[in-house]
Amino acid sequence: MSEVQPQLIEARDLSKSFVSGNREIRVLSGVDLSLSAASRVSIRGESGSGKTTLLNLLAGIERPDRGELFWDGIPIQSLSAARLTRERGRQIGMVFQSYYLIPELNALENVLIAGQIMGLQRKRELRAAAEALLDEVGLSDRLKSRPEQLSGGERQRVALARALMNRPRVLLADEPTGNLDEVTARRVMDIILQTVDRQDIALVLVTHNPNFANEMPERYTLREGVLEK
Amino acid sequence: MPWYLYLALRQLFPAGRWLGSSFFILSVIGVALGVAVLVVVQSVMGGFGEVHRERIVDTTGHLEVSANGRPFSRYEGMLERLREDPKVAAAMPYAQGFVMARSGRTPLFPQVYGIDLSDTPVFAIEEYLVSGNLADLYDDTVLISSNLASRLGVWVGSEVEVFSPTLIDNLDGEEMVLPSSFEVAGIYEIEWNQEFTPGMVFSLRTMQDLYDLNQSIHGIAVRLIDGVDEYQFAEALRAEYPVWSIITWRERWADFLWVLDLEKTMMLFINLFIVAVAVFAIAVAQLLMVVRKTREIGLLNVMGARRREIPMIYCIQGFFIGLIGLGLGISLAMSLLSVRGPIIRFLADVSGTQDALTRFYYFSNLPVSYQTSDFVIISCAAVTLSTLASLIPALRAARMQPATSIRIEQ
Repeated sequence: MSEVQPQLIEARDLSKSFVSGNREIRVLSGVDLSLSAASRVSIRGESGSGKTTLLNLLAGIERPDRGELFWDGIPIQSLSAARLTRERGRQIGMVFQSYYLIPELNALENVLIAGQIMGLQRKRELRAAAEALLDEVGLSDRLKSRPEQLSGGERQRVALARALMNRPRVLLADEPTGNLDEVTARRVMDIILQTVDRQDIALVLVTHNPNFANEMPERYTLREGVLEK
Repeated sequence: MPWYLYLALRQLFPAGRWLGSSFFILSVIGVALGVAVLVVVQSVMGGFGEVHRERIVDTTGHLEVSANGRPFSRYEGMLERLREDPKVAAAMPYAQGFVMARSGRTPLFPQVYGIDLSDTPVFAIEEYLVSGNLADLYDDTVLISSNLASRLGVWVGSEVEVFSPTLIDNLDGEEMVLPSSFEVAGIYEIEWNQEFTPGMVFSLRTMQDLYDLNQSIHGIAVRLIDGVDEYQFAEALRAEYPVWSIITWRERWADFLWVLDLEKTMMLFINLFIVAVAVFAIAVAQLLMVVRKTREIGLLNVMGARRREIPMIYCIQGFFIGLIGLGLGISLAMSLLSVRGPIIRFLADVSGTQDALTRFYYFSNLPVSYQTSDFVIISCAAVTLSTLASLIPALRAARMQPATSIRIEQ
């Protein structure tokens, strides 16, 4: 009998509320989600439906009010804040709608810093890995360009390379094409899909774009805090 | 290189801007100006102090041997012992007191010295002569300070009448008192507080006559060769001659030297506030930067940055701003001090107070003294304050929750 491998991420009955004034707003209610290396998941939902909150919970950035979250079978509630931060850096890559590149660093440095923070590789290896990733996303000729000198699509590709720098097992993409025109969005999306396939990374894609969402084998919609398949 | 050091430096020197960010340039200028003021003030105050100290030694010697203020006559043995000591450059018997001096109808009461010029003089009076000649000091001539000469209205060759206290003491009411008359042989200008310097210098024999001292003197002034510790020398002499009063110039002028040190210390303390103001400006600018970079700080945490590493970015920036500001500030101060003469002359011309420096401070040039201790204190203060200023923004950055930071403007 083969040994059962734990899921990369397993969320059980996650709930999260925020307090606004005297009112408690329930954002997520009883969310269950399992991700394996082959998972390609899309999550849609109206603005304010809790998509970003769910990604933040999966990434361990926020703590759920109720429920359990496991990374590789380890309950993250049992991890110290410092260990959680390091584990997140090692296991999870994140891409945001607004790129969040550091304006003082050029493209190569923006990618390199993710590796420097985790310190998992030597300097020479880091540089080679960063250059290879930028090459993979089609930016080998823009290594020295600062974010302000890059187009939106190029910035998002730099952000993608940065998210992949520490060889994460899960990529959480929060509306990665939300700020891009149709053609550029398509190109970025293709690069994301090709990269996660090539590197065998689980993908959770939060998007408003129904076409991109429908390309995913597992499709979810968040309605009033409930994750529906 | 740790990533936070790299990022800190990159934020100060963004790619493509070798001069640094505007925040960096303005912060460094602020610290540099504060440091420059501190260095200039401390160096000038140190210069004042050093000139005062030099003048004291020039006019009193390094130490004096006396009989607790009483005249004494059997001093030849001590004088010979001192003159034979290899640590002694010169030893000279002297007498001192006050007289009434008059030229015309103006009576003044200067402090006077009688010095023995038969050996190397302890008082470097010749260096301060502005007219006349030390070799012309005989029993019927006198050297006179420029200040007193001016107030009496005399110059070299003029006659000055002198009434000694013993002369006045011997009056019996019927007798007419006749003053001693002296020709001015030279005028000296010590460029120091005129209240502390002797107004007239006679030969020792003349002073002994004026004060009815016979062969007695008031003390022996001693000048030591360079590098000899006067405290140790005085201690050894006290152990050898416990009956004599042996006092160093530092002990004699202890109160005045303390005031000089206090003045300099207070100036340092007050001027540190200038650096503190610059440092507050850094703290405010960095706080704004932390607010502006909230999302980036959240992102660093998402990427795995430890909570204690993020504040290091801002502390390192404060440290470098302090360090570079310090270097520039010292360079600026040294440059200003190297052209202080033209600057002072320009300011004096503009304000119409050209002779104020000479009149009030008795300095013809602005004196400067660079002391290692000043540079160490200023360096430590500038770099420490600048680094500490970054603590508040750094702590704010450390307290940020990644989720909150990431959500901002999302």
